[in-house]
Amino acid sequence: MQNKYRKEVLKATIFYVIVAFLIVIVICMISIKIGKEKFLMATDLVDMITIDTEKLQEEPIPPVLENFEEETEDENFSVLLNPPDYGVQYATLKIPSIGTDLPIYYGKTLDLLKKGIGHDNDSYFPGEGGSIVLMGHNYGKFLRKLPQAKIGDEIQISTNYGEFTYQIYDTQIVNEYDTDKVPITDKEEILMIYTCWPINNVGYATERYVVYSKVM
Amino acid sequence: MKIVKGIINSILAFLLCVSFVAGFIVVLLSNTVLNEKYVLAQLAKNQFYEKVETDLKNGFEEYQYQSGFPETVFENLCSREMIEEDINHVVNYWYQGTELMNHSTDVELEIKANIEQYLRENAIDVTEKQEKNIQDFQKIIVQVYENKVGIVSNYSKQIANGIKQIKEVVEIASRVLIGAFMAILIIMLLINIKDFIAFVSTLGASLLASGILLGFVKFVIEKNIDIHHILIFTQSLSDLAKEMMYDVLNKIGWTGISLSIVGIVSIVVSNCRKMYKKEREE
Repeated sequence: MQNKYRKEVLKATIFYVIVAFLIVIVICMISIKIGKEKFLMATDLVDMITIDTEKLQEEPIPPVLENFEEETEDENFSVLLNPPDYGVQYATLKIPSIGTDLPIYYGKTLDLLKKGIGHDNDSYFPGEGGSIVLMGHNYGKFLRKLPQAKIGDEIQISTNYGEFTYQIYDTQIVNEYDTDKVPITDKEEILMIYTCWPINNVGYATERYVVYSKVM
Repeated sequence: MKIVKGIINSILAFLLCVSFVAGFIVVLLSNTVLNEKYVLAQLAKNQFYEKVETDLKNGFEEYQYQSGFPETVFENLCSREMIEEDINHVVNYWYQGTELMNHSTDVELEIKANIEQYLRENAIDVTEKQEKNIQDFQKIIVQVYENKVGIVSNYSKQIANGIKQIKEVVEIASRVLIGAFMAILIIMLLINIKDFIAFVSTLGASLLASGILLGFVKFVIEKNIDIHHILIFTQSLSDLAKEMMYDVLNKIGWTGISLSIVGIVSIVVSNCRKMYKKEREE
């Protein structure tokens, strides 16, 4: 007799548990039907502000400079495949005439500029054929001596995909907001390196000393 | 008649579950991210003020190098207490719309005094252009302070408006959901007035479903959102956002587990009681 009651208790319990699960399934189905797109949109938005810094520390795939022949204009152009991740050191900058030898980081955050030279991520990579914009602080070991570099001096950039040598052809002092003086273009490979000006500044530096150079 | 009653009970259990889960989420939001005290407690718990102080030092450092001034001009520029007060003022403004007070003027006066002292001690005569550069530098330093402690009027206004609107919606929603929950509960009780055990079992099924659903919500969010790697503006703000999200998810998880246990226990106990009653009658 007792067994019979136990079985009935068990049956009734299972019935209510099944009811509970059915409720969950129905609610889930309704939620998916109504809110799937909105949920995916929300997760996409969150993905945009999600940066996996551990992933950045993984071994990167080495960059490769690929040459393409443009069919329409019969011109050659190059593209850097597997470009470095933001914040990664990918090259070194050498200006032998002023004894400069500094690491180049891809990006221009203030944290990167504390470590070396920053590469404006809106500009091209060496070898791609477009303008390259590099920047650095004007104190200590950084670009303090940049104004001492003269027209005709060599600038070397060593990357893990090749060596590039440039020759200085011009220097200018420009206002910090005068972006026309450091134009990003794909027409010609011009290396532009700038630092704050004047070197022994007092107060906020509103000018930049820019060194222009071309591929040798 | 028994089948009809069973179907009605199941529908009521479904509605009760929906209103309970929605109501719980609304109450959770109003007690966490929409609650000023909770946010202030989280700021203190996550050492947010200390982190902002470090961010500020780094921010000043960036401009120090190009300014030609030594570190001493940044001495006593802002204290931890000042930072804490200003951040709390921003939070008060977001949640209560109180006046947005801050110590920007104190920072401006302090940096000005420090620079003047440095120039005096080193007998540096500044040109008109340098004077202008120094003024720009002071403005930049104040801007760094305001940005780091969150006193950026446009953002603050938008956030305050957003919170106000969400709070209004949440308040209405919580009233509607609590009302609906109570109404469904009363209807369920009335239908099962002669069979209280069936009422408890149905309620148990509803609670169990709510518990499973909350657990599922937590699982889906954790599976689809990489909370650990969220980055919003600064590291200190990101850490705070992460901690708050983890806290809210933990609350959802634990409530889900508790409801599931209460639901199962209600179902088992009510059915045991029913069988025991039957046994006694026989």
